[in-house]
Amino acid sequence: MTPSFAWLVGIWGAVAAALTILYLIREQRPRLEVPFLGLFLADDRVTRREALGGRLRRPGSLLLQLLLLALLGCGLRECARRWDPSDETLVLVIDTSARTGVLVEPGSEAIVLDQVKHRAAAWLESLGPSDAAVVIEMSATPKVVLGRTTDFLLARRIIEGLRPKKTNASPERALALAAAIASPGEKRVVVLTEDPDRLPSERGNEVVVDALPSSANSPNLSVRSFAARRVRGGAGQFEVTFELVYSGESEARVLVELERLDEKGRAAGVLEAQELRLTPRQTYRGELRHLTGAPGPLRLEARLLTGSETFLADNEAFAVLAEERLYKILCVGPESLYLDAALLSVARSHITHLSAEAYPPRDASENPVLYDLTVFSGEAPMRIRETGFALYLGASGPNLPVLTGTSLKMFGFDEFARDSRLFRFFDPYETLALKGVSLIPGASDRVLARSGDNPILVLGERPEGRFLALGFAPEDSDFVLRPAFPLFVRGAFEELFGPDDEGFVPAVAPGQPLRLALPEAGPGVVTLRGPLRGANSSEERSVTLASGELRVELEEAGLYQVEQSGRSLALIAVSLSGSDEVTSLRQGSKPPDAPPKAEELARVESPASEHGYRVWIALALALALFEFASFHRRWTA
Amino acid sequence: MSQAVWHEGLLSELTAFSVVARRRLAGGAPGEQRSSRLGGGLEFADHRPYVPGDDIRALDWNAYRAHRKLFIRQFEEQQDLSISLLLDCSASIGFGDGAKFFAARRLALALAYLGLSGLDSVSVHGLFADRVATLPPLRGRGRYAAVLAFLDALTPNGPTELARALSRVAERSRRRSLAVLITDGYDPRGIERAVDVLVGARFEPILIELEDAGDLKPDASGEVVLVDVETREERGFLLTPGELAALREKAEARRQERARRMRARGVRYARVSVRESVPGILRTLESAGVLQR
Repeated sequence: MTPSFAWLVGIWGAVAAALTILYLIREQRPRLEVPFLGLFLADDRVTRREALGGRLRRPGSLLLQLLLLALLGCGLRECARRWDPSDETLVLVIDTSARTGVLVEPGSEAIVLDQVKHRAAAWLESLGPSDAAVVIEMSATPKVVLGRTTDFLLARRIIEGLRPKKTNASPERALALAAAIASPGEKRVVVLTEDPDRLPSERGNEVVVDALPSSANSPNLSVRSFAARRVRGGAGQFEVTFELVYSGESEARVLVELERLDEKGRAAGVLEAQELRLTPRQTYRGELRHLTGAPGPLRLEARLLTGSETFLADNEAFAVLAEERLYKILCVGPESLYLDAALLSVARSHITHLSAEAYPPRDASENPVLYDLTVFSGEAPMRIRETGFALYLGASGPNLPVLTGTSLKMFGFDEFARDSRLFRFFDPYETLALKGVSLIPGASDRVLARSGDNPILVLGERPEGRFLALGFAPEDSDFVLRPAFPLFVRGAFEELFGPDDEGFVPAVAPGQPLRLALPEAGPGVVTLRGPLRGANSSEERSVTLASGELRVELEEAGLYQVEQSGRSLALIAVSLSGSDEVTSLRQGSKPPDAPPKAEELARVESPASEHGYRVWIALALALALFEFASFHRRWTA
Repeated sequence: MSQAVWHEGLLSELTAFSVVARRRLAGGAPGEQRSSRLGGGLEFADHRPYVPGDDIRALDWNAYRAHRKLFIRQFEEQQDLSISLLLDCSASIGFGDGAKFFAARRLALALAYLGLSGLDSVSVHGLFADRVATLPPLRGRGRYAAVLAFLDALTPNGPTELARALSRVAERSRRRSLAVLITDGYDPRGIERAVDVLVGARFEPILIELEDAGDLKPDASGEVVLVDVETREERGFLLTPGELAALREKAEARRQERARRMRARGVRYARVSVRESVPGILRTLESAGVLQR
C-alpha cells in the first residue's frame, strides 16, 4: 500500500461513512404524497424499497462508485508519476546509529549499514532526471549531510562515506528535519533503518519505511550499566558496579576489564580484570571493590571469550571518577548536637571536638594539627592559620575577625545575598533569632545577610584564612529546628571552599541534553573535544556558555573534555549502556542459520511501481462492472 | 369559483346543451323531458277506447267517423328529468393544487345549470366515506346560486368509499333518476362496484372520470417514501423515470379497460382532463352522449 493510496482510502472511508449515515436516516428519503398508493403497489415493475437490504443497495452502489473513483485516482496518480517528469524530492533518512553496525552474519565483515547503503543507492536509481535527493543522517543529533541535489553520484559518495556511530537514533528529530525540507506533495521521505519499531506511529503519508532488520541471531553481550564511586573514608579507594546482559543460549566465558584512561582518552593501564562464566540469557550484576588510583576517566569492557557476537558497540562503557575532598573539621567550644547533625550533610568529613582552652590543637611534637575548617562557638580563642577556614556561629570575644555592634533581640534575616552559595538551597526569611549582635565588617568583607540595617552574617578573609561569621548562636534561635540549618552548614562549606562536586559528571546517553555548570570557567566560549580517541585526533567544537552552563548534546559514546584557554575544566563520559540503542535490541528476531538472503536484501520497492497504475485501473474497472451488475436493474432484472 | 368560470359567453354556450336521458324516467312535475306517463301533454302518443268518465274533450272524432267507435286520444305528458349529481369528495380528488376538485365542481355546476335551465329536478350529493352531503332537488334556473353555494362548501377529505356512499344516496332517493358520478377513479374497491350500486338501484348512471397527468408524476425520483393522501399509508419505492413511464402506461391501459367494460354494460363513460377548458369538456361530454345540443 502506497501512502497515496492510504490517503485516498482515508478520504473514501470518511465520505463513505458520512454517506451511509445520512442514507440510513429515514428522513433523508423524500416523502411524497400521492393520491392513490394502490397504483404504485399494484405495478410489479415499480421497485419496492421496504427491506433494509434493498434500501442499502443504492448507497452500496454509491460507495462502490466512490471506491471506483478512488481507485481510478490512484491509478492515474501512479501513471502520472511514472511519466510526468515533474519534480520530486527524495529525502533519504539513513540510520547510522550503533545498531547499524551489527554484523549481518557472525564472522562476516558486512554490517547492516552496508545493506542500508545498497538500498539507498537503489532508491536513488529510481529517481527521474528532474528529481532531487536529500540525505539526512539519523543519529542522536540528526543532520542534513547532503542538501537538495540532482547530482546522484555525489549523493552516493556521501552515503558511502557514512559509518555507524556509537550513538542512539532520534527518529522524531530526523523526521522533523525531513518535514522541513519540502512540502508534502513534492517529496517522498524514505527512512532506511534497522529497527522500524522505534519510528513514531504518526509520521505522515509521504514517509516510507525501508527496514533492514539485523539478523541478531548470534549471542550478544552488552554492558547495561556502569558506575564508579569513591569509598567514603576509604583513603582514595573506589569501587565500580556494572551490569552485563548476555543473550546467548549456551554458557559463555566473559572477560571484564576495567582500565584507566588518561585525559586524552588513551588507555593508562588495566586496573582490574575478571573472568566470569555466564549462564544462558543471564543478567549479571557485578562489583569491583578496593580499587585505588588517581581520579579520572574509566572504561569498562566486557567481551566474550567463547564464540563471537555481531554487535560490539555495547561492549564498553565509560565513567569519570571525580576527585573527592575529605574535610577535617575542628569544632571549638561547647558541643552541640544540632551542629553535629548538620555536619553530616558534608559528604566526607572527619570531625574533632575541642574546648576553647585546648585550642590550638597540637600533636605530640607540639606542632599544630592541620584542619580544613574550624567551627567556633561561644568565647572564641585566637585563631591560627593551621586550623583552616573558620566558621563563627554566634561566637563572642575579642578574637573575632569582626567587631560586634549593638545587641539585637527577636530578629531574622531581612535581607540576604541571593547570589551566595550559602543560600543556594534555602530561603532564610522565616528564621527567628532570640538574641544576638550586629557585626561590623571590615573594608574588604562582604555582608551576606542583614537584619534591618544590621549585618548579621559576614564573609571575609584575614591572614589566618577565610572566615564566615554569624551574629547569633544557632541555639538561640529556631534556626536549628528547621531543615534550613544543615543546608546552611552545607552552604557555608561551599561558600568557603567552593563546590566540592567540581569535575564530577555522571555518564550520559548519546543525544541526551546535558547542562553542566562550570563555575571555574570564565565568561565566553569553551572548547569541547571528543570523543577522545587516544592518539587519534578528536573533533573539536566551540560552545558558548549560557549563564555559566555548558548546554550540549553529545553525539557519540566516549569521553569528552571541556577546556578553556588550555585549562581542563571537566571531563564528560557518554555511554551507550542503558540507552534505548542497547536495551531495545531485538535478540533472536530471526531463527539461527537463516540469515537474510542476498536477493531479498537487494529487493527494493521503488516509489513508482512500473505497473502499479494498471492494477489500480483494472481494479476500478472490475468494480465498475460489479456495480453495474449488482445495482442497475437493466443488467440484472 | 363562479367568477373564474361562469362568464356570459360560457352561459350562452351552455344553454345550447341539455342533459340526455336514454330511458324514460318518471318525473314529479311537468318539464321538458318526455316521461313514460301519458296525460295532458302536447305530443300525441296513442288511442284507447272511451270509458265513461273520460274527458270528452279527448275524444277523437275522426276515429269515430272511420270506425264508429269512441276513442280517447292520449298524449305524452311532458315531465321534468330528475338528475342526481354525485361528486366524489375523497381526499384524493383534492390532491395537489386542487385542480381536480376544482374541475369536478365546475363540471357539476355546469351540469346543474343545464338541468335547472331545462326545468329538470337537480340534486347534488357530496360523497364522503362517512357521510353524504345532499342538496335536495331543485328546479329552475334561479336556484343556480344555491347549487353554487353548496358546491363551494364542500371540502374533500377522508378515504374513498364510493359504493357505500352511493348506497346511502339510493336509500334516500324516492325517484329513480339520472345519476352522474364525477370521480377521479381512485377507489381501492374499484369504480365498477360503485356503478353496480347505481345500476342495482335503477339509476341511469353516467361515469365521468377526471384525470390529472400530475398524479403519476411525483416531484422526485430515486429512493422515496410515498404517502397515500387518503390513508396516510407509507411505502418505500425506488422510482426511476423508466418505471414511472411504465406505471403511466399501465394506468392508461386500466382506464381504457374500464371504458370498454362500461360501454359493454351500457353505462355512459367520459374521461375529462382537469386541465381542459370548459368548452372542451362540454364537447367531450357531448361525444360521450352525456349532453346533446
